[in-house]
Amino acid sequence: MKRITLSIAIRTAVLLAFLLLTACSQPGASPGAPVKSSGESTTPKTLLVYTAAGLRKPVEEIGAAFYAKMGIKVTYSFGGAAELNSQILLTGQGDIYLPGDREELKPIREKNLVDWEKDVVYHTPVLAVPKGNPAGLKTLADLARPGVKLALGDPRANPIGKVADQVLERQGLLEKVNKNVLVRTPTVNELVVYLTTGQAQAAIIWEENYQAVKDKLDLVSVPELAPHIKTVPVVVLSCSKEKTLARQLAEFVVSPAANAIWAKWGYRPIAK
Amino acid sequence: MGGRFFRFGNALITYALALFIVATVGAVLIRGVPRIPAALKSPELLFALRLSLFTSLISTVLAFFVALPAAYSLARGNLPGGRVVADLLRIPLNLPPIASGVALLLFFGTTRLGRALANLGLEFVFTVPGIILAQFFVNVPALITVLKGALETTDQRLENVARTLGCTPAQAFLRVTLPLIRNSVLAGLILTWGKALGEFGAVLMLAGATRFKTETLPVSLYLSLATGDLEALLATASLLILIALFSLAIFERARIKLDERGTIS
Repeated sequence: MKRITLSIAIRTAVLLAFLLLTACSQPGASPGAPVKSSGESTTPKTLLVYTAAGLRKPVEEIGAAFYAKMGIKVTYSFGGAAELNSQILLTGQGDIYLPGDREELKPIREKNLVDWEKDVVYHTPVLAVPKGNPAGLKTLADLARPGVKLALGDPRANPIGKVADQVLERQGLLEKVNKNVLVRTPTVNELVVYLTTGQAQAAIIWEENYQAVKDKLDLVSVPELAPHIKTVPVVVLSCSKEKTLARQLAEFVVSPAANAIWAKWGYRPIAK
Repeated sequence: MGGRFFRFGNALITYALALFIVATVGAVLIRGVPRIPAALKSPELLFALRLSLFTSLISTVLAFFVALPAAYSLARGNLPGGRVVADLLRIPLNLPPIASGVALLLFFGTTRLGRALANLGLEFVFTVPGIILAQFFVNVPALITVLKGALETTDQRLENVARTLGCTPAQAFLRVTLPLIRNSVLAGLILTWGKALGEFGAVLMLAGATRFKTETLPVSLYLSLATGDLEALLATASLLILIALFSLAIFERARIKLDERGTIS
C-alpha cells in the first residue's frame, strides 16, 4: 500500500513539475542573439509586438536584427487584425502593433491607445491562382463564373477579406462571387495554403504572400485592385510600459536597415 | 498516522479539483448566461446551433453503426489479424484531433483517390459532410473501445444458447447480447454525441471556419475570438457548457433508471 502511494506521489510531482515548466516557458522569443557584455545587472527588457499574421516573416527578421543591435528581446503575437485588436483591448498590454491595414486601428484609436504611428509599407492585394491557372481565370469578373472554386479572407477577421469584399462590391460582383466562395479564412496565411494544395482555384491575397511562394503560384493581373492598395502602419501603444524602447523599435521598423528586409520579402517601403 | 494522511491528501486533492472546475466553469456561466437570450436572436448563432445539433447527431448515429460491428468482431476474437486491426483502429484515439483533421484534409484534398471521390460528388473539404466525417473519424475509436469493453463482459455462451434455440447469429446478438450492454451503449452514445458537438480541431482543418456554411458552435466560438466579439464569445461558450451539463444530467438520470430496473449489466 505504501509503495503504491509513493509511486502515485512521485508521478504526480513529476507531472506537476512538467506542467509548471511548460507554463513558465516564454512563447515566441527571437532566436540566437549575442550576450551583452555589460557589467550591470539589469533585467533583460522584452517588447511585445502584435503583428498581422501575414507579416510574420519580415517582422521576425526585423525583430532579430533589433535584438542583435540593441540586446532587447522581442516577443510576438500573430493573428488576424480583429483578433489582435481584442487581445490589446482585453489585456491592456503590449508595446508595438503592426496591423495589415491602418484602417484596422479604429477600435484601438477610439480607446486612445495609439501613442505614435508611422506608415511602413504598402500592402498590395493581388489575385493569385495555383501555378498553371487551372481554372483559366483572366479577369476579376471570371471569379463569378459558375464552378470556380474561390477562397477569401473573412472580412470580419482580417483586412484582406475586407479588401476582397470591397473590390467585388464596387464591381457589382460580390453576390455572384459569394456563391463560388468555398471557404472564408481567419488570416491570409490559410489562403496561401489552400492555393498551393489546390483546394482553391483562386484567392485574393497580399502581394508579399505571393512573393513568398512564387514558384507555386501565378498572378492574374486585375486593374480593379489598384485603388485598394493599403498601408501597413507601425504603432506604439500607449499601454506600453517601455515607451522609449518601443519608440526605438518602431523607428527601427521604418529605418533603411529594416527597409532592406521588407524589400527582401517583397514589400514596397513607404519611407525613402 | 499514514492512513489518515493518505485519506486526507486524497480528499484535499479531490475537493481542490472540484473547486477549480466550479470556479472556471462558473466564471464563464456567470458572465455568459445573461447574454444568451440576446445572442439567440442572432441568425449566425442559431445557424451554428442547428448545424451543430444536426452534424453531431448524424455523426454519432454513423459512429454507432460502424463501431458496433467493429467492436463485436474484435471482442469475439474471430477476426484474422485481429490484434493488428485493433491497434490500427486505436490510432485516431491518441491522435490530437487537429492532426486527424490535417490527415483528412490532405487525403480528400490532395490525393488522387480523394479527388476521384470529389469528382463522384463526395466532397468533404470545406463542406458540411466534412464536418460529419471529421467528428466521426475522431470519435469512432473511443466508441469502439467502450462497446468492445462492454461486449467482453458478456458471455458468448448466452449467444450460443440462443442459437440452439433457433436464432441466427444476428438475432442472437440483437435479442440477447445487445440488451445486456444497454447501459454501456447509452453511455457510449451520449459521450460520443457530446464529443462530436464539441469537436473543433478536426472540423476546423477539414471543413474550414466559414460563417453560415461550416460554422458549428465551437467554430462560432473561435470566430468570435478572431473578430473580437466578446459578447458572442461568452454567450456561445455558455451555451456549449449548458448543453453539455444538460446531456450529462439526462445521461445520469437514464443510467439510474436502468440500474433501478435491475438489468444484469
